[in-house]
Amino acid sequence: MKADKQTNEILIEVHGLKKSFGEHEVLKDISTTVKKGEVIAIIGPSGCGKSTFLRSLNLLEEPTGGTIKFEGTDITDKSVDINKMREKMGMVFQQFNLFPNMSIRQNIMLAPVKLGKMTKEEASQKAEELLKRIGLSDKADAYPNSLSGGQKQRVAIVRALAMNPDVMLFDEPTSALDPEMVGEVLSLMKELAQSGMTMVIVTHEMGFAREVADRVMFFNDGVIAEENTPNEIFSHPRNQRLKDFLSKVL
Amino acid sequence: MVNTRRSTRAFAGFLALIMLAVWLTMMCFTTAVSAAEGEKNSTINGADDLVGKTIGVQLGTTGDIFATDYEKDGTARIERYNKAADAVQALKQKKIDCVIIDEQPALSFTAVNDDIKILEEEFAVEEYALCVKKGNSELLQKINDALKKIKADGTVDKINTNYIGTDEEKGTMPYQKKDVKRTGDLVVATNAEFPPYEYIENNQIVGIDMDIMQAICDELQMNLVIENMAFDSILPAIQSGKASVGAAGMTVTEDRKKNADFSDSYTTTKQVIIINKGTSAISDGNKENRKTLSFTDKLRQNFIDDNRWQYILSGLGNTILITIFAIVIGLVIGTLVAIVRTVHDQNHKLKILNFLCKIYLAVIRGTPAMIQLLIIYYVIFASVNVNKVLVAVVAFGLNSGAYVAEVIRSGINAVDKGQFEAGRCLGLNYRQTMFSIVMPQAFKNMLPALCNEFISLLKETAISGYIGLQDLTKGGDIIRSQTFEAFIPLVAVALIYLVMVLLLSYGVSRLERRLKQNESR
Repeated sequence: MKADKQTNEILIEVHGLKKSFGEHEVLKDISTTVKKGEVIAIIGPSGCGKSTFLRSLNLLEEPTGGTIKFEGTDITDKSVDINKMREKMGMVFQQFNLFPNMSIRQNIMLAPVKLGKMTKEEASQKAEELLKRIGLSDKADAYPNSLSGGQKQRVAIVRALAMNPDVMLFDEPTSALDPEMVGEVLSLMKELAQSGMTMVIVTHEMGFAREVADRVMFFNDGVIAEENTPNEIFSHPRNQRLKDFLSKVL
Repeated sequence: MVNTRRSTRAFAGFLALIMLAVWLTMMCFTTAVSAAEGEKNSTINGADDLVGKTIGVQLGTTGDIFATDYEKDGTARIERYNKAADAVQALKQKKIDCVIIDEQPALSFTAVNDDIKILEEEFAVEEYALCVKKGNSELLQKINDALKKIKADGTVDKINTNYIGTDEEKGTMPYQKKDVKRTGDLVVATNAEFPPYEYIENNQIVGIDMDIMQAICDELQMNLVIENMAFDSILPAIQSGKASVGAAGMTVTEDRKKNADFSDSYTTTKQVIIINKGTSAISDGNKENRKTLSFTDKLRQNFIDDNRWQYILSGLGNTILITIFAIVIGLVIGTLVAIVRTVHDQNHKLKILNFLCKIYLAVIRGTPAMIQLLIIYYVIFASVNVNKVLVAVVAFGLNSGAYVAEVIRSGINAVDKGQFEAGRCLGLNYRQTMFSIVMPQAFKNMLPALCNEFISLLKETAISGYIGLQDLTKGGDIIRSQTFEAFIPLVAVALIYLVMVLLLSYGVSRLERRLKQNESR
């Protein structure tokens, strides 16, 4: 079933990606591709560079070397308008990062309206549709602080969706949540995956990675130490570090 | 909830009023006590007795120059006041032993103050002259010619008699402005704290010097424009070109000659010494009289008589005007500087602009606001005749901008970095993210600090008087110099500042509460 929605069209192509913070080299020469419709889970011990890698994909971290092609355009090229590229790359953060001074509706409408993608009416309608989809219609005019963590993260996801992105990047989306709220966020992400959205997810939820991902990348010490189908990664790990890691987290 | 808040607030206000009332009463007692005590018999009978005494003078006047000789010898201590009236007030409160001052102002002061007198032995004789910028011999020649003419036709004598003649003659021959065709302005710098030569009456600057200047302008066929300023600012104003002529009962001295050229003298006068009368029978009688002046009488004298409340009102207007526009300028400059500094900190761009901003911050925050005001008026706007309110707005705006910039910058820094990243990830550019996401939140963080800065700014405008601008403080000072009453004008001015600050902080705290309520709905 997973294979059905996948195409062979390459959406993101990373080549020789490097990133250092001062002396410290966080990413060492990473090359990989993301196909359209693919769901990729990135796992690994903390400090392995997985979040930095994800944040490099939309240049939230500026790479020190290598290239990232998104839909055929090299976004590391200084002449590329990165804002235009980011419109197509939704991002969801561990800390939600909803705008506390705006209502939920305004949070969702802000970017589409500011960037001239939609009129206010269209954006408001879109916001209502999206909120209905996640069962939070009644919260449209509430402010983020009155929402639970799970609700906040779901709003953050649909806020990114409002821009109709081609890929969604998730940076540990459930790590800041109370355990009982993890489920509602994961099920929304699962639903999203099934609808054919291309997703790159940094996560600690191994069960989720196993169930939803098409491919799992194991990051260790700034490189992709192992990259395979979930079944192979979890059932037949080859890399010793991966074996150690899984023995601790499973 | 809201009601409880309101009543708490009302109670706090009530408490403040009570405390104020207590403080006022205490002040009244202390002044009364100090006036009753300390009646020391003055032993000054002439210039020879000045040794070991404390002499009060008006800064930069001839009295100051003479007294300074004693100070150099180490024989007497000098207290220099910005206004002659302040020196007289200090004398009355026994803070100093005597005041050296020109004869005519001394007569004016003793006429309204029963407890001080002029020593019969004169201190020195001297001549008054007008001054112009050094080297401006063309204007000097014109003024001397005009002076010669109005001396010859008796105009100067008439003007003098009108102010300082016998009681019967006084006020009978006011100078009538001639009806002539005029071209151009003659800007005259004076210090209207020096009756009868120059002083403020009914919101107008009048006096012997002013009438003589009017007569000269009539001869020169020019418009007379009077600029009121501190006495020690007159020579700098002439040098910088802010004014063409200085007319302020100025004696020609060697030091002054170095900085300006002087006209022929237009009047002769004496320097005299004023002392307290001491505990004579007459003064006791007078004291009785003065005690009958009740609080309400004093209020009437300070505010109602001669419409003196107008000084406070017009001063208040200027203070509010300056504060509001300075806040606006400060916010604009502060925002721009804060953005430049933040952009530099985040992206390492705008290196040169950031460097300039840092210099601006260092200079403004590293020097006193008063010096900045004086520099802007006397150095930067030296050759331009520009509205003083505008100068003050620019000076205080520039000053406030530096503080506001740092407040805004710390406000921006206090906004979670994730907010910025979230905006950028949605495709908004730096500017859009800054203005629609970060700044509104930063604004809320920095409101208390901004309010603080605006309160300081409001109170700081009290130094506007140094460029001769009549703000609230100066308005109170003018009343003080006319009524010789320190307490009522000063406390009234203090109360008005207090009320304005309370209103300002009330407004800001309401705004703060409204912004907070928003978030928790």
